[in-house]
Amino acid sequence: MSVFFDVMLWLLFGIVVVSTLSQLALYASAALELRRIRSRDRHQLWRRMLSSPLAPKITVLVPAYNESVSILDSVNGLMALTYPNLEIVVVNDGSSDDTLDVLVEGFALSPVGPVYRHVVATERVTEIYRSPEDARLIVVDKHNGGKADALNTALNVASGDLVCAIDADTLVATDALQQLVSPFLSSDETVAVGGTIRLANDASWKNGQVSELHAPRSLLVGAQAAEYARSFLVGRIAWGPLGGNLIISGAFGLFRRSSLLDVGGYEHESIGEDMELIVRLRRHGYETGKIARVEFTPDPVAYTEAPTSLRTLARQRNRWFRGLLDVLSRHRAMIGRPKYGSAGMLALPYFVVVEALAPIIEACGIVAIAIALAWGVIGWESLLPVALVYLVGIGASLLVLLLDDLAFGTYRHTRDRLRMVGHVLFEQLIFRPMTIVWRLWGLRLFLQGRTEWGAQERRGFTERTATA
Amino acid sequence: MTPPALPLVELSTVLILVGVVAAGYLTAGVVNDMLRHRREARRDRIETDLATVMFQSEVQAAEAAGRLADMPHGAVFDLVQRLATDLGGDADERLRQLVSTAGLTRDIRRRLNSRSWRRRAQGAALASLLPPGDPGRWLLLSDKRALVRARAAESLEQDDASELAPTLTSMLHDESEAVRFAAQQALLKGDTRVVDAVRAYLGQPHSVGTAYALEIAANFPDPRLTQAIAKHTKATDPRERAIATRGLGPWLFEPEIFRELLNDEAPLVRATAATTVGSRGAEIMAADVGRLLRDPSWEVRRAAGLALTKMGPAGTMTLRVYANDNDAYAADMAQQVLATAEARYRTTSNQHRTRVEAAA
Repeated sequence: MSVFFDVMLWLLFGIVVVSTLSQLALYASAALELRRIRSRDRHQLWRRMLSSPLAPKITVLVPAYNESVSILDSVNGLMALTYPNLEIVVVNDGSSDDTLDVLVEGFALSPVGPVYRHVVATERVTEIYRSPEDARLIVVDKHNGGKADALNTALNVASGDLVCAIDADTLVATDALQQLVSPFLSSDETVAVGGTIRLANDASWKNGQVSELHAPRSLLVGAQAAEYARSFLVGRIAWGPLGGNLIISGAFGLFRRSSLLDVGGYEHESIGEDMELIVRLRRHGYETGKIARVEFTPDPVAYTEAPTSLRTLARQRNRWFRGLLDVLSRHRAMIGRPKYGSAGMLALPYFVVVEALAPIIEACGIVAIAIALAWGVIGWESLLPVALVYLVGIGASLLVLLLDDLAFGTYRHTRDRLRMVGHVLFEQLIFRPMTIVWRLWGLRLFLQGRTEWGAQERRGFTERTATA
Repeated sequence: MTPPALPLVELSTVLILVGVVAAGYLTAGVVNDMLRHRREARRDRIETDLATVMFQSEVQAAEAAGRLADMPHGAVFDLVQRLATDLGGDADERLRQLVSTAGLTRDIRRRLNSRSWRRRAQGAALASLLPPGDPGRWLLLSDKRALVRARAAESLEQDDASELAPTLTSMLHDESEAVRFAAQQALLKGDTRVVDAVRAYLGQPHSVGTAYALEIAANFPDPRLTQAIAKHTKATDPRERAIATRGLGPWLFEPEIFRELLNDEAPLVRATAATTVGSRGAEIMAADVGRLLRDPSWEVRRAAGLALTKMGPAGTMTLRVYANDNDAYAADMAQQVLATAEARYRTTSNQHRTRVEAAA
């Protein structure tokens, strides 16, 4: 019996060490890459040129399902973007609430007939609405088919060379698109560019825009803020020089439309459609011999709301984990194959070990240790190395916050930083085990073949602006 | 098998280490805040002095220039670089004088010849501040780095752009989209001296630069470009046909050509043709444009509706007829456009009446 617990302890120790060491290596890579990106972006002053109406046309794709609370704010925020050649396609994906009515009334829309190019197959479009007052806005009403289907519909309707996929509850900084478009101008090989997403739950607002970020008051949101900072630094920036960037958040990313159409648009059946798309774009690039560059530009910022209730958060996290497992399973042929370059040899194996397997092994290890401690098979001193690795995790998270602060000046008050230290402790010691439970729940649902999203709650930016 | 043990490391030691990292995070944050405030204060001072140099009296400008000369050149460069691409006229001349008197010219030249592309990119943005006729001003147009070439083209001034038109047109088919776009923007800044180069370029075989050159021609009010544009109304790319249609409007208005364009297979061309016909106020074509109110594409219907409002009584009559059309979308568009036009008329006449009454 003791041998079994020893093995479990070794496994737990091993996986946490591998996970922590790989994260530390990625932090180092992120620090170097940040320097390069800052220097690169400093020399891409396209502001004046990109205020020309001849700038490449961007279509913003906004899938909306039961978003009546936040949709008006989101669309108004998009209309306020300063990018000069813009089109906004909102797709009402068969909402059961009054999302469409809110849009029709809010923008004085009238039906214009469902005429568009059916390039990617989607659920049936019932009507397209346009506003006589602002020709940039197109609202599409269609039967429910999920987020990927809504995005594909928007892709069919879009006329821009570049398309920006955002979530309906995302608020984009007014000059974000100017910066996001630069890598497309610099290289024809660029197929996708992502920007940073920050949580605006406790932000200060001015003229409908976030003027200053504050560390969230809620522990739950604070833990997510610490996680977001780490995820964007490690998941996006650090993978840049390693050529393994596989994620551009579905909440804010710019794509070359022709590249999306080449790979058939978003995958309807996938629950992690944003990561799946990037992996497919890169896979297509490797298989056809065309370089598909995926860039990340940290400065263009979009803001979103983090779930504030455990229930919603649990649903979100189990969905994310199912999405990850789905992508890894769909593209398992790429894993460990030199033909797929750094994506196949580095990034995907990392996702398998650190993101997919680690939580499962960690959970097994924690349960085994708890039982072993209860039965007296091992003593408390055996936990020291494991505790050490968790504490190293805390230190590493604080380093990320420091890096984030130095690079972007995220928080401007010591009070906020103190709060973030508390959030990091909470995140590593309490939130992380909670996410393991949610992931296991996600694993169960994935094995059952469940692909539903689950309901999400929305507060809307107006409410937050009013309360801020 | 025994659990992994690290006897040298005590839990308390690790806790202390975490505490040290947390304290380091907080301290670094405070230091960073202080440095940022200092940077911002310095930037404010530089901005104030630069504004003084450009817009205040010569005495005040000379004092400010003296202060700027003592500032770290890197910080001044960053702000001057931003201003250099946005200014013109007297302010630009003052900025050029400042660069010369503050000894920044040598720094710019050094940047132009730097081995680091980032420094060359910075130099390219500042090259327009070199004295007129200085070859350094357009040295980087042929740089091996696309981004540097683009920056060099972006920062060209009107005179340079006109003088370098043949070079800039050859950049319209550069392998990098950034360079093509920057060259196009530079040529749009130029004067009538760019016309010949653009016309010659449009006469060359089709390339990726054709659409860029057409856009320049369409935005350039010069009848010498008409024939070169007209040829492209039959291009295979609908985008090029649309640009050519727009460019043709002010100079060559032949109903037969436009009738053909109004029936083009691409909605973009039909919509552009309708807009162009509308802006000419060509009543003779009201019926042709009216037919487009039944077009399947909303963009075309809208362009047709708006065009008809500019086509005098014939346009209004056509809209009234289509307001009762059997095609619901045609009727809807005609009604919307009429309602908007009437609302505008009412607002204008009310304003006029108020003015007349006030004058009386």
